[in-house]
Amino acid sequence: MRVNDALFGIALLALAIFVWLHAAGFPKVAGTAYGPAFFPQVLALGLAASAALLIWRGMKQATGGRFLQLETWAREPGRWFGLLLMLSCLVVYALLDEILGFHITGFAITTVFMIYLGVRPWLALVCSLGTVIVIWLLFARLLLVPLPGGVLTPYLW
Amino acid sequence: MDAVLPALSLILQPDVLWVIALSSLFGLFVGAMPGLSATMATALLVPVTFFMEPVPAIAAIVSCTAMAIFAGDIPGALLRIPGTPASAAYADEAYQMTRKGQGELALGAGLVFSVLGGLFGVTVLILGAPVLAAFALNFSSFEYFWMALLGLTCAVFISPNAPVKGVVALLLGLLLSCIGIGASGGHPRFTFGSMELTGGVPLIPALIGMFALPEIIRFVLSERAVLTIAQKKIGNIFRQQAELIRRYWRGLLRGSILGTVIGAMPGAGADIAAWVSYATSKKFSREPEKYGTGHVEGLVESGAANNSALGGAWIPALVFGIPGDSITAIAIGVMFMKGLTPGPMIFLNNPEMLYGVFIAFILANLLMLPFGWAAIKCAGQLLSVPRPILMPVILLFCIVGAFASNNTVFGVVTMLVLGVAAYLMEENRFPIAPVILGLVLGPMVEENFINSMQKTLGDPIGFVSRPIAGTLAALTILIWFSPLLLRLWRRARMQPQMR
Repeated sequence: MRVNDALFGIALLALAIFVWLHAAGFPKVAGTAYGPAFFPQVLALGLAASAALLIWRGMKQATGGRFLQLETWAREPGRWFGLLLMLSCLVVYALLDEILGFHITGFAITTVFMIYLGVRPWLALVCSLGTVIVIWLLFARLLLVPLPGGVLTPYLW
Repeated sequence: MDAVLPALSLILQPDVLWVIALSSLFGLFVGAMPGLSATMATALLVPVTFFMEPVPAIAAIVSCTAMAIFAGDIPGALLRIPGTPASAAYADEAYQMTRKGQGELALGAGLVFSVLGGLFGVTVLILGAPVLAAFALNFSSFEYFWMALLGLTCAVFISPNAPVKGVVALLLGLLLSCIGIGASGGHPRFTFGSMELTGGVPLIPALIGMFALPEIIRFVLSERAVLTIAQKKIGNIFRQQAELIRRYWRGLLRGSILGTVIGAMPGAGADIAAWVSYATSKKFSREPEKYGTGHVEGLVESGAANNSALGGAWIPALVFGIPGDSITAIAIGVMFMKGLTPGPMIFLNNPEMLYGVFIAFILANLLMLPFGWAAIKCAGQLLSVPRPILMPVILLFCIVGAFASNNTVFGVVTMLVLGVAAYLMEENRFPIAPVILGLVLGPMVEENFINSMQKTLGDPIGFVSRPIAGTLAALTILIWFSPLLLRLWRRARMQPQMR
């Protein structure tokens, strides 16, 4: 998805203003002008200047008033669905990992994602199971990462 | 040199050799997969290296990247799709050779000249880094401030995109580095009451998010065409290679030197080295008309350049702590996590570790010959690994890797947010490498600035009064104003013609 530089510029300008104002609330260090706020505020100034340049560039480019350019994929609802599905997989993992545990959540999202990408369901199930086991052995057993067991905790060795 | 034997004993341990072998195989696989880059391989490797000793951790990164950069040539020659951006410059040329029945020659040249270029880059690293480090021992916070600023400046100006977009990417990276309690003297910044943010943006999830997630998103959104391999059976790839070395030794040398130099420049890595070398090769060639029709000369030069760039990128990384490309930016992050601060002191305090890295580099390049040969032989099977299965596996790997850095879901959320942001940025031609450089170098810039200011009691003249600091300052400012000066110069040249 191509966004016109001017829109990026406006967003960055807003960010720069926010950073400046937020940093202004940081405590001052006695006897020096270079406290915690100094560096972020210098960055905010730089960001604001770059944002202005981007807005100017964007206004020059935007002939015919087109501020958003969509690629071919963006006109196909299936692709949007795929993107949404993939990102939801991550959100679902973040939400359910502690409750259901790594194995169930990991297995579920890998299977769903594979089936969406066109892998046959039985193959997706087998591959996801294999992946979960390999990652579990590598990270939890070998590298001792405490991957949450969730509801399966009593049954894990 | 007394450190060589202890370094050898550090590397020649069975477990370290296993780490090198496995990460080499991993690098070969990821590099050969179209759409998965060497940087992504490194980012995915980091959570595993997190649990290793410093030497095997760095050795893993070194061998993985060397293999990945070479392996990118394989799908270039067989599918016309570069496996990594570093092979993009000559993928079409290599494919044309395969179409002409010279697949063995193209793949063999990719392998042999990658090894030779890689060894050249390492030699320069081994000889050059200690000399530069002895020089850098005279540096104080003023020089380090300018070095960091110069590194960041190069990163912005070398990027092929509009400089303003590089600047924005860099500033965003520096802003990310401000989050948490860091160089600010104990005050938490931009944490918004979150306990997890007080530790700053966690580097591993940030790396995975910015370098791996966009590739998966792009795959989901892309047309999934069936890949057809141009040549299934590969014969003897080493035939005629000696002849190529004899005929194109000048190109090999030129590519290796250019690659090392470009690699050493902050922000420019193997991909830019390959593009520049390919163009240079064509310029100096006696048969420039053959380029683009399946001519091996460009492959020789740019194949050597992209692997020599890897060694070059480590020079500023080890000597000054300033990464030469996004891969060394990741490596510097890993070194910090291991409690090692890259810079000249490492040459005095941990020489055995340093020589360990050098030996790992040589070993990786030598291993590339048999491993690369095997990968080329299995190219048919390797390239037919179904990506609809591979991508979800990588996604789960990313999740666990991001989780493993702090053992909290916060890492996964960081990866998600920065991954989507990086995808949007790349789609709109904002480079990603400066964000990582900013994130890694931000504290160095701020700390050295504040320390310097405290030394001079707030007088900024200290930043330019020492000779090296003054030179670095002049150089940095000259680069800042170079686009403006160039424009003025062009206008001045145009005006007499107009009259």
